[in-house]
Amino acid sequence: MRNSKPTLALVAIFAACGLFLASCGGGSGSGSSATTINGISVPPEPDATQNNATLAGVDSNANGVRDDVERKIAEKTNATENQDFTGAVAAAKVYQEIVTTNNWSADTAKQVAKKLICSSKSNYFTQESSAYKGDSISDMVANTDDRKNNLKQYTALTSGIDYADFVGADGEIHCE
Amino acid sequence: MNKLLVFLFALFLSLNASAAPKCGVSGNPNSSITILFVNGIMNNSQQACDGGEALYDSLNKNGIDRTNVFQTFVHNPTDGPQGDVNELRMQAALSSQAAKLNASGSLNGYYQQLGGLYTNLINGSVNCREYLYPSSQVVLPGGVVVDFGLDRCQGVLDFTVKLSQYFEKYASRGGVVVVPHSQGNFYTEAAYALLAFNNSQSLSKIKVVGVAAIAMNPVGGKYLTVSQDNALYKLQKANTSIISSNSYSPANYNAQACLINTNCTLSEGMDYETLRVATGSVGANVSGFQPYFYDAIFGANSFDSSRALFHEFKEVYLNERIVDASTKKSLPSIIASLVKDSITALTPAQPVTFATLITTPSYNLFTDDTYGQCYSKSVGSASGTNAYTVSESKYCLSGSQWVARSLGDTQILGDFGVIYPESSKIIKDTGNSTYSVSYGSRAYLSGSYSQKGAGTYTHTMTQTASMYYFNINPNSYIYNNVSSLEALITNYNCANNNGYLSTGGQYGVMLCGSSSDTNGITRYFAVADSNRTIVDRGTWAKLSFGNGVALIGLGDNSTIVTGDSNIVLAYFKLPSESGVREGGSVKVGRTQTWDSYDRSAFNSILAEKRLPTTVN
Repeated sequence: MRNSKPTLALVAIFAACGLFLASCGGGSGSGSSATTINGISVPPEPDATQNNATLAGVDSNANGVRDDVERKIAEKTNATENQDFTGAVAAAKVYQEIVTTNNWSADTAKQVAKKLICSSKSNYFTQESSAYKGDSISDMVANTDDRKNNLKQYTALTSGIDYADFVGADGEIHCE
Repeated sequence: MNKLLVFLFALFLSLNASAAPKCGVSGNPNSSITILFVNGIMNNSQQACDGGEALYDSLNKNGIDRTNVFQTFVHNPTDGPQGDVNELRMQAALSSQAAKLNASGSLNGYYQQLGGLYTNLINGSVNCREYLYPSSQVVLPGGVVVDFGLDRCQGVLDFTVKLSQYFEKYASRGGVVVVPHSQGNFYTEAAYALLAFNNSQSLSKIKVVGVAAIAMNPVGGKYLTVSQDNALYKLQKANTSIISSNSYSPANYNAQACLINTNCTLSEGMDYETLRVATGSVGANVSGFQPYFYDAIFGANSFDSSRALFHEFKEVYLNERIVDASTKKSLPSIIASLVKDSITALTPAQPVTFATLITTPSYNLFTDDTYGQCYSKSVGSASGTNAYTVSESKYCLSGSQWVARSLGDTQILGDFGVIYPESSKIIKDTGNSTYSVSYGSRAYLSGSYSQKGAGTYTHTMTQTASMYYFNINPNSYIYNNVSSLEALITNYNCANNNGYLSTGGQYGVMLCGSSSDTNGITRYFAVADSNRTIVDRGTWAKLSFGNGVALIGLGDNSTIVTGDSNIVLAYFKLPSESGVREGGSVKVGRTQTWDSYDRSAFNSILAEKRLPTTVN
């Protein structure tokens, strides 16, 4: 029993730190030791050099989204405005596939286009006036020349897609 | 309890979920009418998808009939703020130049010019750089030129060509109503211009409802830009005529406003000549020459949220809370009404069934002898006078259905299984389940339906005739050794009896064969026609015409001219035949009432009479 008191104290301190860190979240997002931002559990900030050395970058929790992107989304997520972190991450995952794909074919791009619109219906994207903020998910993910080039290839191939091409027999688009 | 809470929460979520199909794409893909949404700048595919859903919801809420209407959207992708702005500048410069080159001053001339300018870029005869903003080309140290604009130029051309192809595709099915927002208007204008330049036959099937209409001459003149739109109006003047009052009203579009340069006041940066002067040499004059849209939307150097506000498709133009100060109509309802008008304009007149005529008391139908024998109905003209126009389809009765006929078609309609040389006309649906039909303007049929009891109906039909039906058996080619009718009736001492001529009235004779005989034996003659003579001797009568056709009617009291039609035998002599045919006659002009039939039996009677089989 004696040993339990220090343990409880440590838990209380860690909990307080957690709250403190959470309350500081949403700022610069710096600090590789941060594990929560705006109350959202996120991986630590990766080393920039390592993260940008490859198309895939660093994805320590293997959720299909680079750690730096995940953290940035968390920073911009304001739960009180009902912003959708999960939806934004789902979209980021598709963008990650886009920026890591070389040599696009038209068919592949088209299928990814459907995957993208099906990935989420995120308030993050549709928040009033967000259209002109220039900080969209694609900007976060395509942050190097190589990644931008792949995104550019994809965009060129999907420009002007008529989404009627995706409809089923009932005339609607069905997301699996 | 927890399960109940979870269930209630799930129910709450489901009730709050949008009913719109994904991206608003919905309906029968093969529908004749397609609504096509084209988004503006700075939209990734999800944002554009969201706009499509919002449009779907808005049109539904505002009463757009989705029967046979398909909605889809084409994604105009973003290439980032600067990339999109480069596109806009290029499009504005091209539209501006088209206006300057449009010597004719006509709207069609403008589209021809614009289509030509785009075509020159597409086929490579003109370099895109001509229309790109100078800042999109950067000279790096060492003289290396990096051109960001050329890439965007190609993007604009590719998208424009694709859009024009979609226009043609959907137009070929019946018509397309394009709803572009912001930059989508530039693309729509250009795609339409490409088709105009190539003399496409699809132009009349392309309708546009421009939202935040940035195009210089929005196609069709149906567009809406609010005066509070920061990007297009408040901080600058878009090229289109935009209402300047404080109300949110559709622009009072003046098609001549920017057709030619002398009538246009083009804003800095939008004007082709200004652009060229500012360009000077590559890379020059970049500083201090703030890009037109960039300045408006983003401010001088950084994003200015106050400038970005109030331009978005969903948040502004589909916002039910924003109401036109004068009409008290919301923006989305105004947009929906424009879309509805466009759909109506594209929808062909539908065949009208008797059911429609009879069960719609307020439906007034009119004939116009100038254009023939049928009548027309246009969708949307549910009541009131519906005058003919040459462009309207005509509908004639065939069996119990109204079918489209080309103008001047004189086929159709029969009663008693007879095909007449002139078709019938519904003169007027006079009210509750009543009708009136004319046959060749010489016989009239009127009647009424009423429900007598559960499952029983009464139909009273009155035939008012100035006509006789003489039914000739095509195979009764008799008296082939008789050289003339006169010889046949010698026994009646025709030559010794002076007949008398009818002095007036709509007396006529219908000579007809069987219902299946339409190959020439059917003849119609009016007593009032010129060159006819009538001999009426009480027990027989003769009609003869100057063209050699003659008829003899025999009977107990054969008095054709008085309308008494107790003629039981008739003989006909046609000039093309050497013999004489024999036939019978049917009295025309009676009132008949059928009573107490169930629906099925009653409809059978109506069908037999070639009357509406539509008792509900």
